[in-house]
Amino acid sequence: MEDRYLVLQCKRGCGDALAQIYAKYRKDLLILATVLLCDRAVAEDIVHDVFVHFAETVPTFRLTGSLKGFLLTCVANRARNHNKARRSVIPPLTNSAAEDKKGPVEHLLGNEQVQRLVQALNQLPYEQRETVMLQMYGGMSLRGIAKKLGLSPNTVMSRYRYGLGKLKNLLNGDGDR
Amino acid sequence: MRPKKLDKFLLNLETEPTEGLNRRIAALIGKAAKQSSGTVFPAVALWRRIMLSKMTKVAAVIAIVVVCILAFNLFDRTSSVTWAGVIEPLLKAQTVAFDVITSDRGMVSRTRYVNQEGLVRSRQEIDTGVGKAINIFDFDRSLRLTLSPEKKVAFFTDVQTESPTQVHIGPIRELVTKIQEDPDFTIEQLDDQVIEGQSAIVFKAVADNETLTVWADAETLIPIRLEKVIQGQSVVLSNIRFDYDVDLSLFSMDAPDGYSTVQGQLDLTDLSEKDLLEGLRVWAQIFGDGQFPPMLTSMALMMQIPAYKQRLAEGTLVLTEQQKLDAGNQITKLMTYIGEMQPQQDWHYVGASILFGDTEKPIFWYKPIDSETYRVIYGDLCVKDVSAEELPR
Repeated sequence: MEDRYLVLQCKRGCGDALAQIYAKYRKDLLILATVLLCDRAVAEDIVHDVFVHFAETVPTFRLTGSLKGFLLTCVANRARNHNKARRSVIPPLTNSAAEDKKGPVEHLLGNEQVQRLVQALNQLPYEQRETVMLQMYGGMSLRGIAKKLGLSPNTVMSRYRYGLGKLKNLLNGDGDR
Repeated sequence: MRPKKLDKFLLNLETEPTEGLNRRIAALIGKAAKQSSGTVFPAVALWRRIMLSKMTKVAAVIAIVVVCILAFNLFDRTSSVTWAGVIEPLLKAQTVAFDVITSDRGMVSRTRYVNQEGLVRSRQEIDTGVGKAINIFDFDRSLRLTLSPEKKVAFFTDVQTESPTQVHIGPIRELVTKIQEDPDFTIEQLDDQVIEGQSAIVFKAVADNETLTVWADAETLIPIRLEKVIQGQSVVLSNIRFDYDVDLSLFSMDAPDGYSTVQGQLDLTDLSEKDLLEGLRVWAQIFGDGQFPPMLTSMALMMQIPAYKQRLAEGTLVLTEQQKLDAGNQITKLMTYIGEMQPQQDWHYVGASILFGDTEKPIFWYKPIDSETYRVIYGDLCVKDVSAEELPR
């Protein structure tokens, strides 16, 4: 209800409402973008672009579900496009690489287990990482993810299953050392 | 590591945007607000607001307490905390049921609102005096189901709208939120009263021309009655129940067995003066029997329903079910268009009792955004542009 009210206020040109939406969801969007792209600067650009687009289109925007889900999807779409344009495979962060690279992992705060999880996520193929993050972090259903990304539910479920399996293997392998 | 544990760890992730990103967003917001209203929101002030703002729903309630304690020394700490405690169920309850009594002739409708198990819906039962109508609204799909039990007709309307549907609890929550955000709001604790046999503490909150009075059970602090007054129009919510055991079948969006169905679309996006004019025509010709209504409110429409149904029964007015649905939807478009007007548009309705087709008498005027002149609508729905000095008196 609060989000609906904020969107309504945005449509009326209330800058404070847009500020509140940013304050409310900025961290979620930034975390998703950072984990997906492993590049903090690009992640911030993506989040900025999402809000530019939202501000420009809010007069005709129709909130049919969760505002958070919508914004996370926007971030995921732009991150995917950026990733395709980059046409490179993000090098997996091995433990030694993680120590040398003062990159996105450093910006994501959390205890040691959380840090290991993020490093493991970085080693997943992009599509699997995206699906796992949208489901676990964004709280979206797999069917909802399929619908938003224009994919078949089976494809999304496969990505999620394989991504989760690889994640568990990486983390259990870490724990065994 | 199991998925649920991973989920939990992910949710523990934290980060902080850089100052650079915050400034860029603040500049964006300032620019967007300026384009919309002509008012400049200083980017720096907004940047500070972004940095300091933590306006989640829970934080909003806490902020109320702080503002009440710091800014309103009229109240002791107990009163301040009590107001926050009283409004908390209003903001957080997932199911709410209440009776609505409006100021015009005590028209009663019973409304229930539910937000659980993935369902966000409302159900409103209205006794119009000549029959019962049930409106069920699915907020996720923006789909409205109107049931006419006496005629066994189910009207499905796909509502395309930028605004949430008014279902009383929504506007109440919006009003509470507005009161919380308005630095000039005042809250006054009145003398205790006995309401519906219960001892109640009473708070009255005022902001601009809007007043919200809350009666809460003296022991549990749960609201038992609310009165919202906006520009003289009063709506009373009584028999209020929060987080009750709800029968989800009452919110089913399926047409009951034996009902015929009528499908319609209600596009409330991109409304224009054309919708205002068509709405006025429909109101006068179909519901008003050739006369414009006393006011452009839903209660004024409800008052005309008995006579409208009488004309249908007598055959002096002949409409298909589809035409009835379309007529109702046109009125909704009219009221939505007016409701979305900005204060500076300065609209006035003066059409009470004027006959449809009267070329001499104005019925409505308003000032379009960014216009220097007013648009005056006459009884024959002709429109003229006039200066402020030439407006009818």
